Amino acid sequence: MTRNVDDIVARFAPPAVSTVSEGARELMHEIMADPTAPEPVKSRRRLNLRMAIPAGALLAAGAVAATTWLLPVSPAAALDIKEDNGYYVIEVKDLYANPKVYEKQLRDAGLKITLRVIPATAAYEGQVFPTSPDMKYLEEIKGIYPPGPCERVDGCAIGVKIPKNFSGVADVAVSRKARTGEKYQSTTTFDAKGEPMHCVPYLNKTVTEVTALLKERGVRVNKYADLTPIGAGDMRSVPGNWYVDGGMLTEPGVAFLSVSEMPFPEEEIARLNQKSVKGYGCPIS
Amino acid sequence: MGPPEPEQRFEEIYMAYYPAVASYVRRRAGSPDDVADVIAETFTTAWRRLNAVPKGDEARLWLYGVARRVLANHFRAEERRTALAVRLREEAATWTAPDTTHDPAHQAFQRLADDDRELLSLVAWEGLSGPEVAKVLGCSRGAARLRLHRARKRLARELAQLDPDLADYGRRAVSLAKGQP
Repeated sequence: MTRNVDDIVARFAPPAVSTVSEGARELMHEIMADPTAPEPVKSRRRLNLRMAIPAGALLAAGAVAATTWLLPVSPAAALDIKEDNGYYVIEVKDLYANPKVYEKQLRDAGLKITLRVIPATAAYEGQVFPTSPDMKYLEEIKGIYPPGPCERVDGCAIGVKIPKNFSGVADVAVSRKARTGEKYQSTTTFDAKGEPMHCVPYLNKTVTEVTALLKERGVRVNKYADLTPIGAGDMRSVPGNWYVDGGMLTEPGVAFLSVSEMPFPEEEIARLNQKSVKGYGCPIS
Repeated sequence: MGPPEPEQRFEEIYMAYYPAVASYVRRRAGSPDDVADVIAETFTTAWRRLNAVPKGDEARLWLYGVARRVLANHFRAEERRTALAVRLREEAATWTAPDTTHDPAHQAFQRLADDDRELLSLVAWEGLSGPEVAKVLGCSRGAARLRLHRARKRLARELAQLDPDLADYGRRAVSLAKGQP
């Protein structure tokens, strides 16, 4: 019975990918060269990074109405956990607390939640990212977003809302501003909303030009990568007349640039500009 | 002997599961750029969360789950163009897909809700069992079984409305649509 329907669906499938191509192998090495190394096995201590939400931030007015305090608030409390209209409303008071402190407070409130506060690039500050143990994004756990404009990629959360009837296990990563010298655990391209090169044309400008644009914005470049098929991978320096096709910040004030000796093809630029105008409202070249 | 170095473990996972993940993404993402972006982001997540990747074939289901989330987030609000995967992007541009534009059964499939299509695809395209589907979707086995049954039934109903090509789909699909065993 069901086999019949499944067979019909099966015939729509585009062909499977059966090999690990050259491009796929190249991607594997690019990923392993990523400045954000995997979390070591016993590295929970290293991740002791705490918070993500601006310290002392207020909850949105609507969210605090008619709340019930669940836990006594002492100067030592890392989190404020309140009950509001079927939700636990959590505000991170101490962005740099030991994660165990968050864990204890959450467990005391009956929640099987791990809260991690990770340093993130500007675009992701305030991002609330809840996942289940099998990495499924949990729609029911939400950030609390204040009214008004937000110049970041994923919202400007000031707290976390968890349904009181949530009975699962969750890991909530909350992104905070990184301190000087601290590597980002979450980053994105340097032209994303909230990043220094947002809406600043850079594509196909020279390394000298883009480096100057970054310098004006308080950012220096410490690494380059030629990611084209014939490229040499990571480099400490490249000729100033090479072309820039991308970049990202790896820590506050420090960027890596994707470069090439050859300019980007014109038709590709037109396509990327079109995408950027659609996504950001501005071209990138 | 200690545990393998992160690079070694990642390479083993990548070489073992890249075809499965690339197939999954290829079948769901639109443009070659999207395919390359989503594959890159999925494996970047695996690299950064290497210690969360389960051992054995469970890793494949975990990667499907990540790819599914990446696909869902990828098209939300902002474009996320990665500087990675330049060559893969070029390769993906040469991949072809069967032309199903005029296939009424495919049109019926496209009319289903996203969730129904995903359930049916995980079974028919990725060859997953009910319990495996449950793992990818993060729901109970019972819920997966029920949702899958409903999705099959909805597709069967759509197919049964196709006329005069109904004969192509067989009587059993019609029976299913009518709720008969």
